[in-house]
Amino acid sequence: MLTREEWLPLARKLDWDYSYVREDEVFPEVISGRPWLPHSEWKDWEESFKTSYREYVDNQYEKDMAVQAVHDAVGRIENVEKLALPWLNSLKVHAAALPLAEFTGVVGNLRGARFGRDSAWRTMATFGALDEYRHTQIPLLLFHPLLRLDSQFDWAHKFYHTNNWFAVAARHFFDELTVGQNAIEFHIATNVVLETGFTNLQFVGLASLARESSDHMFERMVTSIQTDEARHAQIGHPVLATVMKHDPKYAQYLVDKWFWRNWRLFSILTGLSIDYLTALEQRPYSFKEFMEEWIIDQFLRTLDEFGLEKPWYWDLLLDELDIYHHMIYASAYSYRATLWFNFVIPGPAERKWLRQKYPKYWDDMDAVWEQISERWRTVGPGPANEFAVHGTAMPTFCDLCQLPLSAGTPRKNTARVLVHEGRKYIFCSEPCQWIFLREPERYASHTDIVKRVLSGEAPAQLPNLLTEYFNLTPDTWGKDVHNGDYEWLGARKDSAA
Amino acid sequence: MVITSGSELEKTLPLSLLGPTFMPVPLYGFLQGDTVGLLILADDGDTLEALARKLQAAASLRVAARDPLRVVYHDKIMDPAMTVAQAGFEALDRFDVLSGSK
Repeated sequence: MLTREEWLPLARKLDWDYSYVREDEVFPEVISGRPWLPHSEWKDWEESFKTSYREYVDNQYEKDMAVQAVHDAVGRIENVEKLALPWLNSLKVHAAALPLAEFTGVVGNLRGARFGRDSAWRTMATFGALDEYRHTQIPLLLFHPLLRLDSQFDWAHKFYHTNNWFAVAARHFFDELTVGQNAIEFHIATNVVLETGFTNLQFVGLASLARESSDHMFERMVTSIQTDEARHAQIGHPVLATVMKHDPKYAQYLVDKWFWRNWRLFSILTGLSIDYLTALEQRPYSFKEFMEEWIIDQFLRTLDEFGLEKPWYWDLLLDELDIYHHMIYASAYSYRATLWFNFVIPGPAERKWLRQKYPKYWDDMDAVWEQISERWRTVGPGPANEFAVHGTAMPTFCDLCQLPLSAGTPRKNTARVLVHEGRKYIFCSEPCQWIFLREPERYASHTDIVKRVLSGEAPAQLPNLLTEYFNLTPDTWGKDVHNGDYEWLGARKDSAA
Repeated sequence: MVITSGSELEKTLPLSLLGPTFMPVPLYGFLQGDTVGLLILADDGDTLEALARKLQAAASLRVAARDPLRVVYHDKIMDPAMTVAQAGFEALDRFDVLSGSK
């Protein structure tokens, strides 16, 4: 019987030299990725965390049993009903965004499992695909039954099947990242940038918030997922090292591009949960603090490890830590019926905390919340007044990230118009325009929600847009959690009178 | 469910409902103090003052009304009496509105 150490090299390195086909026929550049190199350049590919199939199955079984045990103990509807309302709505965000995105990760890993350039890489990608399938099934299993509690949980499965504006943005991201991507770009973008960096936001940051919010089911689920991520994220590092050796400019481009694209999406997914949809007394840190500790510092160490430079937009990114997700949240609150979860207005205590954590631009954001609050004071609380405290003009979207044109600050929005081959585009920021111009053939034909409305593809009337195009209903479209009935709103009104 | 009366969206869209003499110009409007750009359907005969008022009304949920309003187009402060056509606005251009004293 071979020892583990004797068995692993035998099981991992399985390639032979092809005699009857050319190597570039087996691994075409268009799908294996570039730079295209002969196998001799990849044969020393080595993952830092090695596992055998038997170990993999044993470990996954134990992890699934642990999740099941927690689900049986604290994951029932009656447990979920006890959670704070804002946190429950944070759950709806992740219930929708997570499962099917993870399934696209199955597709991306399977591409690596077939078109990765070394057998050890392909073996690890096979495990990665199984991981991602697990990450699809578990949240679907846990979240979708909650629609008996709240019909907005229907979006755990429905989200990516709609043309909801946020679903359009998420599909635009994941289709490129995972579904339509060559093996090299997929593993650098997904493993090195997303999983080494940004999934910490989801699986470490949110796990911590879930614990503080007494949501032990969610905490266990994301912690369990993170153990898989930590293993298969290692695939990307030796891929990046080889690309750096042969084409460092391309490696830098891929890292710069995907760090920005990830930032855009995850600042919304996680930023709103940490700074708005978690009760104030349950926030252990701000989104910015978490980004600085878990993402920025770690990313800089990764860059240093590979001899990469900071992205050219680094100062801009650091500035956005103070403002971008606040701009998005206030905009989304005022168009909450276009989404599938409910929102809360930050009250005086929350705004004091936000000012303390985000002093740079909070004065401008505070003015926005004061204005929204004043509208509720004027019309009075109640479900019937939801649309009296709701945006009516069409909001606008970036032609790259597909997210609202909410970058910059309230004083100076950084949106920019570009004419490219006779067609007009608008981007929320310079990095989004830069990514577009590096690969216009990839992005130019996509139309954002505004252009779909203008062309007649999407309905122009808000009720029709919500129901026919965004697939929402009066039951499921977003509302204020309290329908504007905040004690502090009345108190302020009384004291002002 | 009734949306709000006087909705800018209902007033300005869809294009097919607009009168035959109306030349709609969809523009990206950014009001200083706001958190998102808005689609504003201008009439090419609108003055820039009227255009600024349209954007101000559309953003009123988030931004308190302040005067005076100044329209910025291609980095220049424009004459508020000019019309959208005279100012050379084209579909899907960006304009900004600054409000309050400098």
